[in-house]
Amino acid sequence: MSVETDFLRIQGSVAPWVSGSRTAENRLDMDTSAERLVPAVTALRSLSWGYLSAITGFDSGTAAPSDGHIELLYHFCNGPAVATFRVKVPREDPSVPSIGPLVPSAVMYERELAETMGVKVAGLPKKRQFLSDDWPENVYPLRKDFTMESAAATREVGPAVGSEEAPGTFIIPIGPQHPALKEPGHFELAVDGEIVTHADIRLGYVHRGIEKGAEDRSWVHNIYLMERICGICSHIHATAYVLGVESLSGVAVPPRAQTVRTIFCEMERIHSHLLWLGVAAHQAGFDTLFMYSWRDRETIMDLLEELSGNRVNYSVNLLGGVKYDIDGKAADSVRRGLDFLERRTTHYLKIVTTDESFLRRTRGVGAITFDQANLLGTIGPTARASGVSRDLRVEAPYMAYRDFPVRPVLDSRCDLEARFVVRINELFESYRLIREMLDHMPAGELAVPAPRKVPEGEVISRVEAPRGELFYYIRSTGGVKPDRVKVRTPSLCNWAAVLSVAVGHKLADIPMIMVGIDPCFSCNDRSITLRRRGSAESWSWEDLRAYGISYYAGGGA
Amino acid sequence: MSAILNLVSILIFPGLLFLLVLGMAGQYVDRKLYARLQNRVGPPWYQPVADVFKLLGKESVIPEEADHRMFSLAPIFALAAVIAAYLYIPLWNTKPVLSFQGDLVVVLYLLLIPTLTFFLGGWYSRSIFSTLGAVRSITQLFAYEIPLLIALLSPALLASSWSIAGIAAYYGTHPWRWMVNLLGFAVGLITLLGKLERVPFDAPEAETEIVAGSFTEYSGRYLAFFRLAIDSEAIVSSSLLAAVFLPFGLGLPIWLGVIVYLAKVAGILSVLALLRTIFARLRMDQMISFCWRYVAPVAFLQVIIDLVVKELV
Repeated sequence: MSVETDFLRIQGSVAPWVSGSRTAENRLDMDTSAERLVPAVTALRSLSWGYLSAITGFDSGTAAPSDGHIELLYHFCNGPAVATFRVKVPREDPSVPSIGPLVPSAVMYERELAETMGVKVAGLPKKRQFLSDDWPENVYPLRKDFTMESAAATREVGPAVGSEEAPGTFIIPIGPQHPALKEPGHFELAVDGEIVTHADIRLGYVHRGIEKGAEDRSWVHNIYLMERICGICSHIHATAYVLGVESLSGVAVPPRAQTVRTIFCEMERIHSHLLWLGVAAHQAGFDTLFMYSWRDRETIMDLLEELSGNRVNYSVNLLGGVKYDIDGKAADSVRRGLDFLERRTTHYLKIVTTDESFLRRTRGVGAITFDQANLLGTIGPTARASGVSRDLRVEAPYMAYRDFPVRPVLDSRCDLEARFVVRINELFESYRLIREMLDHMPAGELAVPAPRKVPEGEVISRVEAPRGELFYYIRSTGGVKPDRVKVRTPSLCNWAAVLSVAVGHKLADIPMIMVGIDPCFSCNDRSITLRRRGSAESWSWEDLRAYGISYYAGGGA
Repeated sequence: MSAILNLVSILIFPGLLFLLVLGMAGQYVDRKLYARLQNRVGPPWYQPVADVFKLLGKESVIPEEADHRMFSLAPIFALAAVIAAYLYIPLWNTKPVLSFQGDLVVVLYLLLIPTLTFFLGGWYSRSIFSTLGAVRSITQLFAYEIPLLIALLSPALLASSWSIAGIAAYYGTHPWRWMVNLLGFAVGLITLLGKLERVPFDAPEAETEIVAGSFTEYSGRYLAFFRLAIDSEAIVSSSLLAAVFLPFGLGLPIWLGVIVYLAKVAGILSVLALLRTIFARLRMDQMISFCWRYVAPVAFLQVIIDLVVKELV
């Protein structure tokens, strides 16, 4: 069924609750209101079409008083198609009902709206999720009238949260600092003996205000900011951003540049999946596999360094192209590296599917059924290990994936073993893709000039990161800086699935199940204030920079 | 005079000091081999000593809610029990420092004490992770202790002696008869992994779930004592397995005897390091069912074999 007929079907079924709708290529925008949102979403869900990919909110500002509103965009995606419900709410009283009862994964996104935009979402749990506990009340960083001074105040925080314990339950706190977590997050697991009866999560320990920061930087400067959202999938963030901005400015990127970008994307996927393999094995106490997979991962890290000069933030992208070329000599060393990795990966596939003691920890554990995966909106390898075919490289090819098609990797076993098998098989697919791209690299320019100002408009840019669909919403008002950059990272989509699957499992399986989705906390939590020795002070960017320079000039004392 | 001699054998040789040195050397062998098997460089030879001195120099924090006496006594008890056990085990000859009929059972009891102190230390720390680790330690104890006990009793049956020295003497006069007990030796090695809480049986201190289990709240010198006790326990239990299951080379000149003894212990430690390299951690329920379903029947089989052999010879 084509995207157009899908859109017609949707328009037909939601018509009573929608005041106007527009279609563009792969986009359907439907205007609705806070009152009609729930029936409209219900109608869309009844079609079993797509999943909720993100909720974007933006503030149109106070400059135009007649139109001072906050606009909420509920993006539902299915393959390449994005259907968006647009809801305008007044700035003074921005309230909407929660769609959590219809779409469980919405709760996280709505919480983010409530904290950063000040949208009152009726029926949402009051617990903070993203901003720190002492962040002042009624200060919303993504509002246009936000000032640094308003954030300097603090909120009284009560004693450490001891959830009201029902008799006979035992709450195990995991995090924010815990050996199982390589990044800070907080989980509360209620256990009865060894069996988990309830699981809850608190994010936001590494919330850095990047979305707000983006509004204050130029279009070019933001490439580097976006690249720093995640230390593992840095390139894919910059790629999603530049693809969006290029499509807004109508810049046609030369094919060679697209291929180079794609090669870096696949190399990043390789290093990310190998890293995950090690971490996941470590959770199961299988440190030998951890050490070997990380040793082999160095191959790809060295190659990335050889190609770009950097191991983590390669800064390959420019608006309009790439900085680095991959010539014959570099291509040969990539090929040699891939040959080595392919042999090793074959070995790892054998281990995770045959090692008796390891299989006891993965086979049949942490199963997310096909229906659950669909309903809870899981994405990426987690979804594909439950047989849900969600891979943007396949469904909506972008960049060089148009010329070098990706074969989807699926597994229908749904358990942790399947998540291992899917990721490892994706490694083979990445090796094949990179080799093909190196062999058939288009000739031509590496970059074309891009304008400094970006025309007014909005764009949705979706790419397949190692952990799943990465969603960018970029809005320009025609200036040198973006008006709004919304980032929805893949990890955020998969928490709902983890929390519901965790219940009923043994405590010992929880770290494995958590890691099974390859969570990335930095990605989830995107300081504005620094608090030192009890005194609250706001530091401007210049202050921080001056402090950094004087700190290192003194030898880091 | 004999009082001084006794004191020397308890505190210096082959008691406390010798055991601590061996314990640290054993830790080095284990860590280095584990690292090399994982294609890592591993620690330098003095790392275990450096670790002890580092811990001694650190602040020893006792949690406010913890039972201070139990918390601080647990590591001392563990170390004392291990040293006491060591004195009953024949090392390079058939004559340990102390010996009487039935000391095999006493040594097994003494080697239970460290696990009990893990439980008490963890339980009285009053932190969630420690409590869980403590409960897991004691649960695991019931899974491995009985197969270990049965496996150790079977060579005693054949030797008709309940003293370790007696067992060693019997196999000294009947060379090669220890080969009958190889199944029991395998059971001993597997259960030792449980006793020492190593992969695949390290659920009581599984860092990805419960941080460090019983030892979560321990720091400074208390942790140093616990670490020393665990290292020494590894040496003592390997020596026990060597004395009971590998009783050969006991009549050699002392220098050669010591080398043979050290080789046996190093061999057992290396097998333990190899085993922990190749497995993933088992969950508690899997560990218990593994011990009862596979390890315990093999231990019983060993008893039957020894009874049959005893009838035949």
